[in-house]
Amino acid sequence: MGLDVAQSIDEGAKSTAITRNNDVTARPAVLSFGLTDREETSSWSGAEYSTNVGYTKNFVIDKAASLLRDARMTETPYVSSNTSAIQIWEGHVVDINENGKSMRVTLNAKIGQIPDHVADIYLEWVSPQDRDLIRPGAVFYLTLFKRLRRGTVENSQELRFRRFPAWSAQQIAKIYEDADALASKFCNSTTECD
Amino acid sequence: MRTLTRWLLNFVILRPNVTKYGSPPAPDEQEITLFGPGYGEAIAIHLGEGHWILVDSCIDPEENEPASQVYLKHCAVNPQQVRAIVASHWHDDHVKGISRLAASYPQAEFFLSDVLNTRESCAYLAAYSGLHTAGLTKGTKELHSVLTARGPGATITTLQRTLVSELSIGGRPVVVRAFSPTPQARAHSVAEFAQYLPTEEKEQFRDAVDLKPNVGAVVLHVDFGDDAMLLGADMEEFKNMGWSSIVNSSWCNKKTRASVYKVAHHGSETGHNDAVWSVLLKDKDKVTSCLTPFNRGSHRLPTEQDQARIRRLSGQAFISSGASKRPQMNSEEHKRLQDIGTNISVLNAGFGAVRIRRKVGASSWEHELFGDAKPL
Repeated sequence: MGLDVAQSIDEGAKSTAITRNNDVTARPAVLSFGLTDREETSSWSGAEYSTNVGYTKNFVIDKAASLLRDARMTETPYVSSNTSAIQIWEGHVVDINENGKSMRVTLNAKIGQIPDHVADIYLEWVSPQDRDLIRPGAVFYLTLFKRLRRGTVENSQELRFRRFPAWSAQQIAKIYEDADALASKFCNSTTECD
Repeated sequence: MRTLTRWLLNFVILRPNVTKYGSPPAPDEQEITLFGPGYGEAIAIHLGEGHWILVDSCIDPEENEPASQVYLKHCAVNPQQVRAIVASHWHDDHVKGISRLAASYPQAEFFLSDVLNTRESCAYLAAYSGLHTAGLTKGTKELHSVLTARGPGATITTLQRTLVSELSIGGRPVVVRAFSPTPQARAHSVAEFAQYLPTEEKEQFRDAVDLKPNVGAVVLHVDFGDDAMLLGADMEEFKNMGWSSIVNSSWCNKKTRASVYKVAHHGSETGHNDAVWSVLLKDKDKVTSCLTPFNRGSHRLPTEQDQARIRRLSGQAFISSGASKRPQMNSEEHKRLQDIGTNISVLNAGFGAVRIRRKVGASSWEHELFGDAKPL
């Protein structure tokens, strides 16, 4: 498993992605896809791949992009015309584990009907530029994809933290205005005495 | 023909659904039903004679509705029969769907921990209400929705000694009281909230975080006169502000000892205090414990040690969900996730319910398990 340089800085997103290659397939024309529990043999055709069971699946990129728009992302994961997203997970950092080497996260799949999962993700997968974003409550996107590179199909993944806008002075003022309105909803508790 | 129509109407529409949860409680039966999907907790209590209170909320995955509401529908409960809804605290796993519960039972009084009754904590709820941070927050959004929907003065905040409900069942008083939080715990929690308030323009949005340790949760004591239930919420032990402040309070420790215990904080070590078992609960053989699991990555409760401790201290113990946590994704995705992480498991590992019921005045409680619930 070799480390791929692939640090891509999106225009506008100002977020750095780091990818790592593994399981490089020696024969790009035919590869095994584990899309379902039942393994299928698929042939790669650049913009789409077709399976040997007689139907063609379009790239899931379009669907992924649509889902991500629905999710009101401010940034979209790095995908290019020669990559195929297999799964995009929206992750929420729950905590940093005591060993300081991993973060406890919840994962919400953006493709397919997959229940939410939890995991500990190693921090080495987070690029140095995103390290300042690792804290409880932070949101990231983990994309698992296959890509065609120099005629070879590679498994890659990308972990990018979502950079949210900063609070504005107006928003902070509105928060305290809302807080006062919420406080008016409380009634004093009735307590018993000894 | 008319008889047949009436029978069908009664069977299809009016008859409570007895398939999922068996028969509903009779008026002279008291019960607690604890629901849990693996990450979430909800409680429905029948105080007797059709009076109910609900504590916390989670979603029934089959119905995609609050689990308590599904249960009350099965029991054909009239919304007016729900006296109170209590949000023990604001963490996601305890309030999912509680805004729907509050809307479905508008006549029920809504109780919240008094730790939320400050400008800082209200600002925290407002900041993480989802209005500014779309796609983020859950628990805070739920409570913000409840407060916004209810009128001024309609939400009751709860401290140690707060009276949640008092009525007479079969000539016996049934009283529900809050054992927590104490004023000290409240002050501690408010300081925690303040740390997470956006105070400067450069600070970025993020999701609301669970504040720890939890000493601001509402522990409830349901007193039937001859017996009681203790609902431990997610109360933890911390610097004499958690369980110690309850067991050392003469107001609390003189109340009727409980034989039914909803174990605190998913059975964790931090939620354990020996004195809870020796002071607030009856003798071991008479204690029935129930709890929900908590599953988040490597942080899974109860641990094997926790389970052994609870079994040792209880006459019998049950957990709402004991299903496998094995990942539910295809093998390729799982393999690739394993390259970059560990402890991958499904968040909600099954859904189940534990019901503990007795006839009014009976000396023992009967239990029933539904779905993925099992003995601990």
